[in-house]
Amino acid sequence: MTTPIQRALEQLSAVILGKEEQLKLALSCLLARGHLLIEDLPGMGKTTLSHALAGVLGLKYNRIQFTSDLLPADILGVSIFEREAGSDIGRFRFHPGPVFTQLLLADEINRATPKAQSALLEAMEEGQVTVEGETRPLPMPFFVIATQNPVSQSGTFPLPESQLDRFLMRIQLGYPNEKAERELLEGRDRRTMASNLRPLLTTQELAQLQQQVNSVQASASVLDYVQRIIAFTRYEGGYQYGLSPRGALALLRSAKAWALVDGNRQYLLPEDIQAVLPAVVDHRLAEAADGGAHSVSQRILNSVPVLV
Amino acid sequence: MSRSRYSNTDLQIPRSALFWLLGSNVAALLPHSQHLPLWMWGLALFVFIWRGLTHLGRLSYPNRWAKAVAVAAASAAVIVAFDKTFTLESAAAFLIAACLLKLLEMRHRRDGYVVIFLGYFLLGTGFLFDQGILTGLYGILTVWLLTSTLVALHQNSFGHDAGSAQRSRRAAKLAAGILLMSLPLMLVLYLLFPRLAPLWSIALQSGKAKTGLSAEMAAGDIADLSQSDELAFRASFSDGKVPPRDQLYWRALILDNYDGRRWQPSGVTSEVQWYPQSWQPPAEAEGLIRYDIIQESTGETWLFALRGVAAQEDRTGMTMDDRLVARQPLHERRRYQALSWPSVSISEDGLAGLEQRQNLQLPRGRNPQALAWAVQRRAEAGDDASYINALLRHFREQDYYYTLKPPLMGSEEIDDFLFDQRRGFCAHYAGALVFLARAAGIPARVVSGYQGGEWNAADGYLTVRQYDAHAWTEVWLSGQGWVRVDPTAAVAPQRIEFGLERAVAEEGTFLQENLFSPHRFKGVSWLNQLRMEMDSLNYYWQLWVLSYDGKRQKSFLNGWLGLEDYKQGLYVLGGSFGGFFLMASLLVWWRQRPLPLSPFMRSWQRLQDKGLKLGLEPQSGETAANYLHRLAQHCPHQRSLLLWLAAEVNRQLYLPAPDSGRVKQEQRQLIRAMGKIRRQLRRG
Repeated sequence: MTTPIQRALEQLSAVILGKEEQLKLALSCLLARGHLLIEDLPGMGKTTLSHALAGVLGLKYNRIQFTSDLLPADILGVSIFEREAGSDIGRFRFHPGPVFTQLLLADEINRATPKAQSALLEAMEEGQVTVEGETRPLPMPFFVIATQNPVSQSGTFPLPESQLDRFLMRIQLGYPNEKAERELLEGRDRRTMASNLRPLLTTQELAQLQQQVNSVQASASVLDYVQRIIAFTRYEGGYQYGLSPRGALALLRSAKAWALVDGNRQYLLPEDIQAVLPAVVDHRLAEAADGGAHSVSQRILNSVPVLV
Repeated sequence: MSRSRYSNTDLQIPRSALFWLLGSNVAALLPHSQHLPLWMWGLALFVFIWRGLTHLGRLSYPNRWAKAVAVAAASAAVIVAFDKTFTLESAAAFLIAACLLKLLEMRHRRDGYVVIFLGYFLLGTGFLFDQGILTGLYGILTVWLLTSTLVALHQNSFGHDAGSAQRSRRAAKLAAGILLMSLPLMLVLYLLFPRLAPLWSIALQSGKAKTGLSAEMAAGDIADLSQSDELAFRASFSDGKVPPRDQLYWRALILDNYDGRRWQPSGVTSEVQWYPQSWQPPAEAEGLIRYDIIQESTGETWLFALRGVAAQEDRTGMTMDDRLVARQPLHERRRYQALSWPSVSISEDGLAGLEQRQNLQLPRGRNPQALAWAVQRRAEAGDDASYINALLRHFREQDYYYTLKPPLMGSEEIDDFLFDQRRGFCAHYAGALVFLARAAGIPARVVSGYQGGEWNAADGYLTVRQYDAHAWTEVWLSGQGWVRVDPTAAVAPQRIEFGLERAVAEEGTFLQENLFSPHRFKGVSWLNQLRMEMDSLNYYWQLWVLSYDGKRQKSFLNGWLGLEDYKQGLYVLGGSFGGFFLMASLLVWWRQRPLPLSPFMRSWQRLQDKGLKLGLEPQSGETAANYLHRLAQHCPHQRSLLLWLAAEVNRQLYLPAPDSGRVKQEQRQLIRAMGKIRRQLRRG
């Protein structure tokens, strides 16, 4: 019997071709109640991915295109004075912004000014927004997929480390392989496919799955491995800063979600840690000096022994 | 973008290390303060202020022109301040000026190295001037400070533990560890490294005038010397035979030529017999005194010895006039042994013609009054011995005063002293007595040296300081030879029995110009106690540490290690080095040795070794299951077993255990299974 997660993955793979790894990571990220940052060039399918995720999981979907003149009110909403019909009396009515949704695509987040960025980041962290002194809860679940262009592109405001840290994972999509590309060229419009996806999960089922992530068991041997990784980033690896405790928790939570998504397992394997490590730590660590050809996470994977 | 910024900072001196650098350099400078000209402190202050302002961002680094001007000005100032002489002091001052200027331009980490190594060097040069125990301790502290600076220079300023106090503590701790580890090496080097003659004692001499006896004596010289509390030498006596204080006349110089103003050695009797050809007293002689002296450097060849001396070691000899001398001037502290037979008669059979004439020499036509007086007194006395006694009686009974502040004498010095002023220091009395003896036709000479000293009963040694300097006379009497006569003992017996301090107590002139000398406070008992303790510490420091020279090294090598000479010592040294590094490597290995493996890991590693033999290399950071899956592909025959093992390993290691009691048993089973699979494993 296939699980809802597997079915969701199948559906998604039909839309996003040849990106199983990224789809699993994105799904794990969602199940781990984290936000996702997709960093890639324009046109790589970032929007389609988020669209498809929303469709499969039956989530209410909104999208904000970030631009350099975007204001916080454009995200959060504004109160507008409205006259009641047929009367002279009026009052301010709050018009919720696009942030009041379940899955929010913040497209090209690094094109906006830090002011607008931070308005969204508060919502991500607290699950609520405060407008004009009134705190309004956001719908549950609340999941942000932000996309950003590579920092080197012109007209970008790079997210500072502290804000990068709010994203549980950062993934890259990359070019599709030859076969997937051909399929893509032969097939139907992906956007339409994404919007026609049938929801496979109810909100309650999603919440249940998220609950299930927490109950994935981690044995002492796996926790030892996680601690070795953390110690390596802090004391040996030659990074500017090591992983924070929040980073460590993020690693463990993501790995648990991955265990569920990848093998429908109720316990953690070191492979789970290794699978999510690049997505979780690459945007949290910076090399103190030139780290050479390997990425940050690759160096960890190569240096930290699994068994001791 | 960010990467290049960090690698640049890497080359800069960390800001926190700057304080270490400045502080440790001040520490290395301080021992030099005694011989540095005052303006050097101005330069230091200037450099530190500039550096501080640079640190705060108020001032930029000096540009090339400013640096050139500073170097030229500092060099010129050193040349002018030391009057174009090339001495130890001027060289040190030049080094210090250069070091200070380096501090100013220091910018990159490599400059930091230069400054630190200059600091070590500065510290080393400090020992050319002073090698006391306190200086030694201070030196150790400074080495610690410098080493900490070296560590601090390598600390990452944006590391994970950014607290600066914590970083400093870690630097100091690490440096202390390094130094402690080098301690055995230091001891081996100290004991075994060949003791070469120090370079500075050959060419580069200290330009500072040494406090101490000089080769000639004018009447006021010794009074000046008595204002100094500097150490002259220390002596210890073997067999516990310590002569009484009034016999402690340490002879250094014979002054037998008088020109009316100054007493000088004529050189008539300074022919030297070198050990071992020199005279030795008969072994059965009564009252032999054997002693051991550690003499501070004098820059002269004379050594200090009691009457009737016989040289006892190489490079020493004795003169015809019963003095002990060294072959080379003493430019550093020297320890030597001597033997004296104080009761021996010297030249009792008569003097050689030249010696006779020299010891009767008087400046022509000077001091007529004294001359006439002497001739008259000699006639009254009857014989030579009673004449000398009459002179002493004269000094004792008439109105003569012993004073550290003698009045200025007129051109006829001795007349003026004997008949008008009647106040003088030992040199006046000695000079006058010799004059009066010679005027009466009795050969006589002035002897200068030290008298008495401070006996440390607890540790059994005598300390003689500059204020113990003394001049007395020797008179030749037929049948007795040279006899010591000390007119000071007649005028001021306390000087001989208790020392200078007691003798001038009434006058209050003891170390008057040396306000802070601890020797002024001998009356305060705890202070005196402290001074004595400190002195005794310094004595042992000299005895055991500083006086370890080539000769003593040889006897150490012979006696303790059974080695013939320093060549063998060098082999031992090489061996010790090897041994030391072996020990160090063992220690490093021991501290980083792998922890004992668990039975599972042992078994797992053996499985991997087997896999490696079959040509499947484990990859770094690979999980057990992953490796086993690859192994299964590699060895298809055992495929199912290996896959089962992979699942089993995962289950054992990563599955939450429901029952802890069974875990151990299951693990044993797994290990057994692993061993079995390993033995069955083969390729293909």
